[in-house]
Amino acid sequence: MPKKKDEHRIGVFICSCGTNIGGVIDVRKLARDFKDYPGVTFTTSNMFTCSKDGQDKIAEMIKEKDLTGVVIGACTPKLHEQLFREILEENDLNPFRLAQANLREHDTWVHGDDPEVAYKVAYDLVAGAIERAKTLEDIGFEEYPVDKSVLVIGAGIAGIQSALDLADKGIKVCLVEKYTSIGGYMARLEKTFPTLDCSMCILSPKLSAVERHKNIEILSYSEVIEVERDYGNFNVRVKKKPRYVSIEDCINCGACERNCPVTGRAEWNLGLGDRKAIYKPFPQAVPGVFFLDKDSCTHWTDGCTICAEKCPRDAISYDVEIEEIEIKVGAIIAATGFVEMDIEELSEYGGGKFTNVLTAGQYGRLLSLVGPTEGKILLPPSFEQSPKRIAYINCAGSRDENHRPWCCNFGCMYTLRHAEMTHRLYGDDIDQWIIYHELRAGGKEYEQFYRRVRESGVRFVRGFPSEMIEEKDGSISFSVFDQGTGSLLRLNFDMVVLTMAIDPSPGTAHLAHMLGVDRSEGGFMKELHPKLEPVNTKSRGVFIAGACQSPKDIPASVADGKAAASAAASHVLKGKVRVQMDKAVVDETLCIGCGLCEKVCPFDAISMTVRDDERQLAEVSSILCTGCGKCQVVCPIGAIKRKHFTTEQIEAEVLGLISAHRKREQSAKTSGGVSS
Amino acid sequence: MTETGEKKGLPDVFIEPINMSELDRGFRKEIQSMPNGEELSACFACSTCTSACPVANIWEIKPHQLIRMIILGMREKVLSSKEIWLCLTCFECQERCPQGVRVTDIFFDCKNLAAEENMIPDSIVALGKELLEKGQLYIVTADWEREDLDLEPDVPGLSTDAVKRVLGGTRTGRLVKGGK
Amino acid sequence: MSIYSLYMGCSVPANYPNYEASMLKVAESFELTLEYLNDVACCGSPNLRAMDYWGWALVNARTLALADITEHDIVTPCNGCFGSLKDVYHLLKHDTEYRTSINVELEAEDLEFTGTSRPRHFIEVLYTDVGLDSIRKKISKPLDGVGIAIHYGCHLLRPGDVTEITPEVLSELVRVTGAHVVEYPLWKQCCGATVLPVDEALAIRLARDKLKSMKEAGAAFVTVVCPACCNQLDLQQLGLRELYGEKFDLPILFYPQILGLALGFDEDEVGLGMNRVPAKPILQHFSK
Repeated sequence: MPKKKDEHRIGVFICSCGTNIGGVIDVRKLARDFKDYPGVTFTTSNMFTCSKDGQDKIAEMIKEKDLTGVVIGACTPKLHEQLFREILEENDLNPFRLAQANLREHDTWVHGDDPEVAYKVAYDLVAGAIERAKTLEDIGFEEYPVDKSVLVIGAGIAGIQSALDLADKGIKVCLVEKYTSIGGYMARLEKTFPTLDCSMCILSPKLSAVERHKNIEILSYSEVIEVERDYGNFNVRVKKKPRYVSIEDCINCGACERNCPVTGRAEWNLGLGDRKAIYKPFPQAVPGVFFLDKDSCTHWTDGCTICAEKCPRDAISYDVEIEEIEIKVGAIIAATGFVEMDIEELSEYGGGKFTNVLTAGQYGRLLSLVGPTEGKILLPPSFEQSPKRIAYINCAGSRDENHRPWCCNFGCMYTLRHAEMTHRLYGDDIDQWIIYHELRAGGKEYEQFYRRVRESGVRFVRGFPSEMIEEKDGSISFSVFDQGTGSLLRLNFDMVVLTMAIDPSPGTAHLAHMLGVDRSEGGFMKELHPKLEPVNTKSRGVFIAGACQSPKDIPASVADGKAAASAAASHVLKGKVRVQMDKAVVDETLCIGCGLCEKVCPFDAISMTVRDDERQLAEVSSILCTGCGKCQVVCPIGAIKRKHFTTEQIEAEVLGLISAHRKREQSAKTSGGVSS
Repeated sequence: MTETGEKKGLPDVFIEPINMSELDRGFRKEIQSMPNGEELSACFACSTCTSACPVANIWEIKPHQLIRMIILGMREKVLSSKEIWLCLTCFECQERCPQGVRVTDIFFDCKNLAAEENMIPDSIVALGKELLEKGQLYIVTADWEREDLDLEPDVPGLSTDAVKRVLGGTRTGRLVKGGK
Repeated sequence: MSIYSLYMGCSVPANYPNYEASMLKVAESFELTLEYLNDVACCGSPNLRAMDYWGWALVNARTLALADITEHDIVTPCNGCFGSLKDVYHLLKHDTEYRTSINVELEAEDLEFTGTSRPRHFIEVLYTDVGLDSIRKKISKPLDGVGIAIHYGCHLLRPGDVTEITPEVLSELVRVTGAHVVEYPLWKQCCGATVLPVDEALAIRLARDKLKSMKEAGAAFVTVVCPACCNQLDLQQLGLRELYGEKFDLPILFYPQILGLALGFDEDEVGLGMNRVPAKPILQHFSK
């Protein structure tokens, strides 16, 4: 608060910002012109107000002149507002006593070609800021405790990496995985580009480490169903679906699977081949036990109990209910990954119709030694014969305004990997063609890998296919105009592999909503800033990692996982969250409980609560409120105020701006009349 | 267009796509086994060779297209193209290739394969004939000019027999004989 | 005093004795001993390479093997010969299989390619073995800064990994005579000589564009180091005047002619009268 209610002592600091501002307007004159402005005690200009010199000057003047408010005419507050606030605070002036006029983005960058106009605008903006500074109030902050624990949603390579890094810092981690085993997409891969090292060989040590780490609790076959903010923490409800096989008792003997009479579609192999109703998706699965799929099992329809009878350890029980558990964590990392776009959407490529058109993911399963064909390339549905000719079609559905406009990021490399692996296995026995448009090999040593594949004898055709038909013998023919030779080709293949467009995992939209995270094009989770805050989100304490943010390959997902772990760790290790109270506040004497504010709040920060006097009034959760001000706008009687941007403060600024403008116009008229 | 022959049925389509069966998968390997052909596969279809070529604009099939055709196996089309014989051998394409493909050298290889199948311009065979018969491409006609400059009247050290002997037993000899 | 095996090829002695004579004069001035290599064959030109790679490689390998016996580097003033010799040398140095089969053939004449004698272009010998400083010292009649455009000739410079010669070699040699090197847009472009047998019109067009580019850039004279290029630029220039009425009046001189004059030889000694486009105007640009 000012020392005396009506006495203002405002300091005005005008920044030249090198030539950004000073190159357009005379900053020294601007500072001088405010010398006698009502309420202003001190004015100056600097070359760089954000520099050490500039900072010292502000500190010095706050003390020397006993300032009640600081006005800085410089760049956008997005850049240095925090710094300037800290200087105020260090010098015993409340940090919210700062008003910034954006002379750069709002003026000199816009009116650089007209210095005269630029000067006038600058004057008005500073005048507005001074009037605003006169109305500013002290604002405090609140602190809430934060638990030293993190929930990681999704146990693919990104989530696993986050969990391990956090656990190593002594932070408790709850790792929730929707599928029955952790590992994610990487566990499906036989080899990884560009080094072609065995995927499971490098992944399984991490799976074991996660399983054995005392700070990590794995909740597999589980889903997050509710997330609620509890001041600094989150209360999360997780649904644990029954696997009907006890993790503790199962000894992995496989008797259940061998005797199970029911087959279902093998999800793990992306629909290629069958599996039993009770099964283990892959040998290195973690938890490393069997699992009963209720949807395909006939126990509930026909009363089959064979597996339970054959189990030597009585590990199978059909009477397990869905369990819901509640956990409290200080931060959340979403790492929910991706899926291939549904092949049936690509009817022009015979997706879902032509037997020998597969997705790249499916082809990857054929290459897997523990996949449906034990690593052999065989034609579906019988899987008896090898194809003589294979075409890989890149960007199937990607970079296509009719399907998925974005680039899938790793498809080019994924295709090259398949071609190279196939070449190593079959040599010239399989004639391989890659139909591509642009080949993107931007990662470390990716270009070298691309060259190696070209040298393997794979034929590259630049263009997209058309007129694709299934011949009587099941082979696929299509036309493609090859830009390289300038000729229209009619090609025929025994197998066509579509390198599919990439979507976020199903359920990403729902989860993002629960977490208060925005989504970007295609439904991927949105980062706070695409370059500078790639794993943070607009939701405090919620971080994202891996392909849920955008399609990413393994190195990028691991880097993300590590980054998110680091960001989440620095959030929870502080033990508390400091929330500045420049939020919405309700004046309970005015509130009529109409509930309009509750309806418009985009962050669910407002609720109607019953008070002691039984009136139902609006209440703001300061931890959820982001200070967007929507409530202030809709409140019919001005009972709810967004502190630091109250209607009065905004009005003061606007009026200051207008009156400065008017005064100048008038004096120009009078003096103009005399001189000309 | 009028039908002149006995052919019945539908007319041919205007653009007959090149069918896969017409592609010779071995062509790439054939070229790669020839001198300086090894880097062929590194081509990534950037068409820098065509940009660098001073005469590509008058070629129906551009340099990069020839290279891509070799890779895809369009042997007949490449070897019968007139363009390979219109190469200036200025090596601009080869010098500029970002992947180290020896483009000009590969066109030399193509010309050799074409020559082997008698697809060679008469004027080039005529040069071969000249070499075989005279042992050199240029013959001193104005020896007085040489004498004016204190030079021996004949080209010193040049053996015409050597060329005749060597090339008589190679493709040049066969082509010249076959040409008669 | 260095000794070199001299390989003239057929074109220079037959068509450009002025190049041969001026080269010998210049060599003598710098005490370079050029010994004519005996019993050598014509290099066959790129056209032989196009129709008969094996025959071309064999003929040139034979020449290199003959030079190997002398243990001196083999020097030629012709870009065509240089390109052929250097290319075959490069091939046989890097492809041991090819080298073996070539040597099997050469054995009949008791010859063997060993690679001891390196193929060199005469101007590169001047640049490397004599050096700009020694040349500068001997220049008695420097040029007055007159603009000379250089036509390097493709096979002198490219492919770079084979020829191992950069443009500076010739441009520095021209500068040391006191001339100004005129830069022009089409400096890299081919003279068209190779396609002359297949497409004469194209060959002429290329030569014409080249001359035009030089002329427009302000060149008063042009220097070349290859008889085939000289054919295209000097002889064809007369044809262009006759057939198309395009007059360039650009005298085309072999580099040793220019250097020879700067060293003090008279115009007859460098055969200046034999240049098709009259080259005598250059004499006015040498200091007296």
